[in-house]
Amino acid sequence: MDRKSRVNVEVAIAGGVFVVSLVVYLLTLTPSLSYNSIDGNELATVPSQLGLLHQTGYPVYTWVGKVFSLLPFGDVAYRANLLSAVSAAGTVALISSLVVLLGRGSARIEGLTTVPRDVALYGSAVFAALLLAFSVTFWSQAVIAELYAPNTFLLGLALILLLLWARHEESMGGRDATDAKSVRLFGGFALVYGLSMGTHLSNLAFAPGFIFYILLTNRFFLLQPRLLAAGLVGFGLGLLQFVWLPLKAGDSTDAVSSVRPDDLSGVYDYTLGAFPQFRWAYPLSDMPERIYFYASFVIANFYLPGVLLAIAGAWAMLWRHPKAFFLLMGAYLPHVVFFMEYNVVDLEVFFLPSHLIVAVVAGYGLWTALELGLVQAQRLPSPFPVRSPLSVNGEGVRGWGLPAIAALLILALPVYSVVDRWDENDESRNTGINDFYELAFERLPEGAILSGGSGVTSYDLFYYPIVEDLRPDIIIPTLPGRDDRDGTGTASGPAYAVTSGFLGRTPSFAGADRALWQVPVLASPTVSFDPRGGRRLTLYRGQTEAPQLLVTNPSPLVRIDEPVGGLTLLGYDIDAHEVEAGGSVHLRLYWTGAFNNLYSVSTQIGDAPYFENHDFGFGNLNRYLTTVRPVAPGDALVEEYDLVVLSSLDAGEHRFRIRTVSATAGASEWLDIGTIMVRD
Amino acid sequence: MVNESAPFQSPIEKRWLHLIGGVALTAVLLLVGYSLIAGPSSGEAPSTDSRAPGRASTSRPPSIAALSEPPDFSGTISASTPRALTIETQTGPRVVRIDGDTKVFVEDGTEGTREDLTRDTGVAVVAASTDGGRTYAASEIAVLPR
Repeated sequence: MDRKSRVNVEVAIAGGVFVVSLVVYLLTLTPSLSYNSIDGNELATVPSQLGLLHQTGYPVYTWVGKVFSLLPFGDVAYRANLLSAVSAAGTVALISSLVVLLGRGSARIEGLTTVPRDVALYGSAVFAALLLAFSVTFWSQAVIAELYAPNTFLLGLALILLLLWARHEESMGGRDATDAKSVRLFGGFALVYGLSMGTHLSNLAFAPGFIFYILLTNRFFLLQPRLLAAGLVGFGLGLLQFVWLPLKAGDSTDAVSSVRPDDLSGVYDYTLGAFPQFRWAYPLSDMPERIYFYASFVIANFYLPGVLLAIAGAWAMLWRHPKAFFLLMGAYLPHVVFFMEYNVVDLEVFFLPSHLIVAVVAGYGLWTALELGLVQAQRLPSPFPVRSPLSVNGEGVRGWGLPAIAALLILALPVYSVVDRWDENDESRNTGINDFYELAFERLPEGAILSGGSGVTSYDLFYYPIVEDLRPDIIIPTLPGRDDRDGTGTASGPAYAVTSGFLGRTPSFAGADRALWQVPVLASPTVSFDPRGGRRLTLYRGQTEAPQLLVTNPSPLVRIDEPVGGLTLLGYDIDAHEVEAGGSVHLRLYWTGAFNNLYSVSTQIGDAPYFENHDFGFGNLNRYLTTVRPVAPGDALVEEYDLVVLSSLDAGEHRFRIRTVSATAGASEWLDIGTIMVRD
Repeated sequence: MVNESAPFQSPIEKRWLHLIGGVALTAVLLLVGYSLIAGPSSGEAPSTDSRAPGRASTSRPPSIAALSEPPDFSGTISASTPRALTIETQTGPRVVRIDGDTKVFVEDGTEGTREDLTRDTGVAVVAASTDGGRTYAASEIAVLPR
């Protein structure tokens, strides 16, 4: 195969894995906003306004996000999700090219001709690419608005450019060989690496690997002014993006941070000095446990065979391509150690750049194993009397057994991962937030004051007034840009509040009497069975008089009288058994038992993996029992509210079920309590 | 078996790279191996759902009664460091920072210590977030009856 044909094949492979992964991502893409990331809804909102994102600012993400927000289909949040899908698929394509480039630069195993060597290399490139593509964490970030897929794309591109530069340097033979192409490639690498700081500053942890590799490629690097200048200028140009921060300092919407990047010290605090409370959180004695957790993440993503291939690949790379070993290990280890010492709840996503390296090294391990297998295979008798396309040393006849085994090895793990992780990463029916806010903004009375949280976790609410310009008459005191965050300066409209924050906390009513009762109006199935995803979403009306929480001897329309955990569901009233998808049903649940605020109640309509969840009594229970009246014999507790029916449900009959979760006893079994007919 | 075709490094350089890399990789793998053996005894994080539903308690535990206000959330401790707990709740994990001012109430409602907050313990937490929900600072933690 000549060079041109090889390039064509490699481009075709990169294109092929790009298309395959993009199709899977599009099939599982979140239709709009989601709670699968703490700051994902902010990332879906702020770039479209060219505003300032939370620390560390992420200028490049903001600008690319703005471009995607201009696409002519879907809503703005969908377009932000699409940015993740496209850049994740782009990363997958780059991974295949990385494996090929590393293979081409490696010492050869004797006894193999070019064709089987190439086939093994291309197969391993496909394996590595798809292994990362369908690993659970990477995939989860490809279907929501987040920084991680664009970030891995830029890191992958930087690695490719660095390898291309090194290949060119080596082909030119040494110190005096630096030419314009070398300067261009190195400057390109430095520029992309600098730009990648605008998708995640933790990419700095890759620097030791890059420096090792540069010096191992050209030990006179520091004495070559053109190369040095290209690197400094490229990296500096990439970092220039952070001028965006002081320019936009007045727009900062990150209410959780008092830092304003309006001078040099502020820019430092907003970037390199950000999140000191998360860093180096664990003493050295905790390291075995932290390593254990990290190893669990890696195995969850690549399964044991993938991890074993990566270990084998690391040894093989050390032997066959030691420079690349130092590049990848020098980038991988500092990155992993830094984040093993990081203390945040969504820790697994921070390891994605190092997962990229694990996938590449696993591909390298498979490639070496395939090559060794092919060499051994020529000594074996052919199991099948059929000519194989994988001729070994030109002899040709080795049967279809070997390529079949090779294909199985290459595709088995990625295909298994797709099947195994599909349900977990399929967010295509995640419409609970949009369905909720469409109904909520439709039903809020003129001039209502809608309280919510502030900061990055409240952009599910802010998205609608900022991006969709929905109901400008509604006053949202915490909306970025408003000065009266406590609402005291606002008009005295009807008081409403929406759950907010990472926990979906029950709100207080801004600018009003804090002693208002919180009456549930609308609740949405936005909690996910996936422990990563979801939080409560409930709209409350504030009112001075207590809601009727206890009724005596009720007669529900639908009688159940079944225990649900420690409580008993006496029955419920429902206004309609037939409802349009995206609409709501009005519910009145009647409970008996020993009431306390340690319960939460979950309801679910249909088989979408989302359910609604609220505290028993919607946060009014203790106050009601102590200030209105205690429980009397024959009393039942009433929960009355509208429950959102997901627009993603297919038309037809769907089960309606309920469960409770006790802080002391955990979750009860789900109890089927009826069916609801959903119309298109 | 391996044909040295990659240019640039001399055999001596390569030998050093193999040696340093081999030592480093061996050390990393040994450390990971040790952690995998040592880790599981302290690292398993069963979820609240693993508890038997039949053990529901309908009375208010004394430790909860000792809290000055209703808990903000509850769950099971899945990881513990001197400065923070990770608590698996029904809607996902929460990182809770603790300090000398954090009050701990044990099952019988009396005041406990930081040492009572061990892995797998069910807790209810009164906490506030200063960073939009990424982490919480706990003012009171009640140990729930097992």
